[in-house]
Amino acid sequence: MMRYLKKCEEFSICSEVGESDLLFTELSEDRSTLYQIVVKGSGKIAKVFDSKFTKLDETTDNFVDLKQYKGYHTIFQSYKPFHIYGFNSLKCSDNWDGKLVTNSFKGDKKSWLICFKGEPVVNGVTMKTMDYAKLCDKNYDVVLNNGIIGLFTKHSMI
Amino acid sequence: MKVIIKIEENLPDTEQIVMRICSLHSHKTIDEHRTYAIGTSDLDMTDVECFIDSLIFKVKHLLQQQEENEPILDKNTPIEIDGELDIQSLVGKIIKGKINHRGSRLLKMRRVEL
Repeated sequence: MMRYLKKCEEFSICSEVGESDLLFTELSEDRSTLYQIVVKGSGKIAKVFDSKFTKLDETTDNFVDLKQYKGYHTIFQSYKPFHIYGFNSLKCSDNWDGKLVTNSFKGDKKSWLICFKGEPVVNGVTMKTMDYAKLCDKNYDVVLNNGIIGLFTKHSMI
Repeated sequence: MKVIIKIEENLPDTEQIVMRICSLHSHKTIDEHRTYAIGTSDLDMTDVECFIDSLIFKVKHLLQQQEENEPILDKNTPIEIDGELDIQSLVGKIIKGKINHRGSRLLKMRRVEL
């Protein structure tokens, strides 16, 4: 399995690429993922020794809120060859809301847009995979072109 | 990485040893590195090989701390770089990098204006 990481201005993005039936664990101190984005494959994630798990699937569960696992030892098992991204907070106290972009929307200064797949066009700009942008208070016209774009908004400290 | 250790004292009454550790390729003698008192009660005493293996496993983090506390030579001090790549402008500069032992590589991302 290959792992990738990039620390951006207010968050970090990690990425894992691997084969089917692969297991990997993450220690609680490293577990800062808030949302998992699945661009290929499927699998499941759980707290270590817990029978409850969360499905990850490129077709049915490709943008998943995983805040419940933050700060816990976790284990991931892939069902198929996979490529996943994680949106991570830089500080434990940072609170973010994330969602997939499906249509044009109004942005704000607390939000960031990240392209995870494809070549969507936003305000006339063709985004490529792993392009990201800080937003401002204006409208954003989106032509998705079957791409995957995540919108993440930072809230006040909790 | 190959390391060397030197046991300075054995203190069986308190189940401790006083030792020094450094990289085999250190440019300072081992006697120039500081001493550490290490408990031996949890070390594997089966034979000398087991003892050395369990001791190094227990104290390996000290070596990393020791190296990170070493002063950086003036001529080794790296510059801050970012932005567009121009290899020619990097010639002769001291550039800092990181070997990630957990196998993570840099995820290539690009900030754009929309």
